Amino acid sequence: MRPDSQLVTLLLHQWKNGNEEALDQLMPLVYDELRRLAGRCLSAERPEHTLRATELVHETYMRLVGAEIDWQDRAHFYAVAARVIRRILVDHANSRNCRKRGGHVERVPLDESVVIGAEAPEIIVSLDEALRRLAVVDSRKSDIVQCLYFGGMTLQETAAALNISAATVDRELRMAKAWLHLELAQNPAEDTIS
Amino acid sequence: MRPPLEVGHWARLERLFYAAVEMDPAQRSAFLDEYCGNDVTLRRDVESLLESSRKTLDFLHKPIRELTESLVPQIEHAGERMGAYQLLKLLGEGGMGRVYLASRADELYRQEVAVKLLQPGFKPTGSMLLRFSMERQILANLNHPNIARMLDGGISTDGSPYLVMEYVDGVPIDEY
Repeated sequence: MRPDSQLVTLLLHQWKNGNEEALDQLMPLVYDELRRLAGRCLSAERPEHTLRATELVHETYMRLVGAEIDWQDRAHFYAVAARVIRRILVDHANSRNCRKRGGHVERVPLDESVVIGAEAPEIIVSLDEALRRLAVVDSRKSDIVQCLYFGGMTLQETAAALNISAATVDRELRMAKAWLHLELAQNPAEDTIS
Repeated sequence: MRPPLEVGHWARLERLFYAAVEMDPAQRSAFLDEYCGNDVTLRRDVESLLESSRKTLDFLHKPIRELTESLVPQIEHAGERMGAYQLLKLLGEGGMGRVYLASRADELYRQEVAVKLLQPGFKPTGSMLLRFSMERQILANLNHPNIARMLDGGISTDGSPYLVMEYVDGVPIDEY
């Protein structure tokens, strides 16, 4: 069932005003819609068969909220969606890794090219762990990376969602990227870093 | 798991990083000498950060996109019926299709088979359907003890083609 867009907007406002419980209510709504949309986006015909976080977040927003609310509220919604996407992808990456290790599902040699690079789940899990370590000392940098990379948000949207200036996002991102680069280079996913 | 970051250390690193990242290398070295003093850990960490600040994280986009795209084929077909066969469990998957263990559902006789389906939610292009039906035709013409025999094939109720093949329980080819 499609949740009422007024409820979503209300929860967004409550979260913006510091009510963390509102976020707990909001996340499952966004989660369900994102998953449904991911399915629908891909079954629609697309020339290159690509699905980017940006499109997914935007379509989820259009379905759950619609176009009425102002762009700052929209940025807050996007930030929630970025958090949800991160969680969905990490769960998904873990399930693939587990399956590979546990051997419940054997690999069957199909003749088609494989869509997911073998290292993708590992990179996502490493990134998530690194962001969690970062959040302990500097949650803002972790949030910035989450918005930009998982939510496909712009610098301006990220700035609005986090109530900081775009210049601050830019500056903090510089250090966050440098740190993450070091962190990820020390993980097994290192070979994939060019 | 790496050791947790320490708040005070992070704050010092941050101040030094922002100040030094704008400087040219000659200036930077003198600046770090002055501010890091004997703190070799701080010096080492800030230099590593400065060094990697020229690199990009663009390599993250691809795995994020790939995983986002792969969210779709999680629709479970186990339990469904394809022609005379009941899908029992997922055996494996590739970019375009999934293979399920299945058994005859009409109970005329017992037989375990492998059913290969095109990926659900995946709208096949004409050339993919053609390849799939060619594979069907080639397999139908083959009869060799070392090649899994094709037993049946058809179109599922949602319009995707499927292949029913002999089920061979063995070690995956990449582990052999």
